[in-house]
Amino acid sequence: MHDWTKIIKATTVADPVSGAVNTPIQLSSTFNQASFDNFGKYDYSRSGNPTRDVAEHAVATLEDGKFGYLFSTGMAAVSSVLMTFSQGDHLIVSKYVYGGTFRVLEEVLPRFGIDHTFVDLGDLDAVKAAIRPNTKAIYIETPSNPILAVTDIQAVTDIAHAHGLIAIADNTFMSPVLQKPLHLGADIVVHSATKFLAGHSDIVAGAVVTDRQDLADRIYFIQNAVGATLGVTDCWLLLRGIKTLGVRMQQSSAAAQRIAAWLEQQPQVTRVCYPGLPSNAGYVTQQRQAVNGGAVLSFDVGSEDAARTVAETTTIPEFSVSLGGTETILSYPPKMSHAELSPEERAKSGITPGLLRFSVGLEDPDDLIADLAQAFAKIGGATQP
Amino acid sequence: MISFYLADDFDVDRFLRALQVCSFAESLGGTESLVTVPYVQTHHDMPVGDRLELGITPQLIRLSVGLEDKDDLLADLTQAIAAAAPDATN
Repeated sequence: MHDWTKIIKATTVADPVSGAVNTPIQLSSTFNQASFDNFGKYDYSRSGNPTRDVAEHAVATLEDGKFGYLFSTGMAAVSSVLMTFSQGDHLIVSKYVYGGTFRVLEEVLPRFGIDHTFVDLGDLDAVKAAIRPNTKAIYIETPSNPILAVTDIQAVTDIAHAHGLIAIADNTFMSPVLQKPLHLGADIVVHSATKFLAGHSDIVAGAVVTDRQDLADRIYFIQNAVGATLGVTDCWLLLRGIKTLGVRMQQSSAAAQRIAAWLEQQPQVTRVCYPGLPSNAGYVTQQRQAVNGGAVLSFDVGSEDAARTVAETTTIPEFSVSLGGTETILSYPPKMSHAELSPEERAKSGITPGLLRFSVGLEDPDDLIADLAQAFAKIGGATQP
Repeated sequence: MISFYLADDFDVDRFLRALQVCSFAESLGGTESLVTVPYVQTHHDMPVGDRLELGITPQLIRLSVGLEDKDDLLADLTQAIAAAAPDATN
């Protein structure tokens, strides 16, 4: 069964009671127990809920994993995975990690004695050098946010396993349709399901998938004990969004490829970050480990003023945080996703003052290009066709 | 949307029961592929003579194609049609 078929079958699990093709929304906090001595499968929705079960299984199926867990937000998912570690543990984390993950690592986990080192995961020697006796995991995020730096997942997971470490991969940007980290050695996959999985900018949600029973038990323990579960109605909306994941990623990534190639030709653009471009440093690795370059790119227009002009002059994209929706979203990382970092930290991560991130939606790419062209004309210099 | 007739000696019931990827259900236009038999479902309330005049026979199958992989859909239809053949064993 191919991916697109798995998507449809996993999101249309017939209700055994009525035959309904869509899973019922089981809004019930508690469940009646038929027997004093033997409790049923469900007792309390934090611990398990029939609607959430279907949605969790769907996400696991798409990643080709056995166990799936849904959380109230992407950060709830990331934090819950990180909470499976303990005082005295050390984590190696991609230096290009998302700002929210950065914040939890820097400002929350140290209070509980969980330490970390940020490493450029493209430098395998640096990865190995960062391993300590108390290191427990390596945390990967590829392509990175927002400069689309590519990590060789298999190379890093090989190092992790050679040293008895767990490999965690944030697969938000690509979605399982374009990249499957479990196939590349990852032990745990995390998602901000808010983005491409849900795909409609309507809910916030997080997902965790693993194939290992021992890790599944640890993750489930935190999900149940800490309780940052995804609400039932949001589980249903997530299923609805996932139905079109195949077609959405196909269209958006094809459009992103065209737009990135066009941007590369424009004099107003000093740099384009998109791993689908042959000129990109991560192109070869990306082609090997993913279907294509994905639907997110970023580009530098040279200055904060130019970035402001683009944001204020374009009419089609939303100027906002987030990504992965049906509408194209233009973001300004220095004030949005990476506002948590200091200017020095941003500079080290390649987040320059003129950098704009572009999450390509389902609009006609000709319209998106024409819109960017008229905005660039305001910066100055002629646009190339 | 596609409609097709199964040959008279092909068993519609066996065809429907053999389907794995497509769902046997009313309606159309969803992300999931749906198979309907207009003669007994959508056009049930039309007099039999009118149905037949319009070409709606018991062997007419209506298919609403969803977003599944087309190779998987072709394979599913192929095996379901084979299961409906007069010489097929259950």
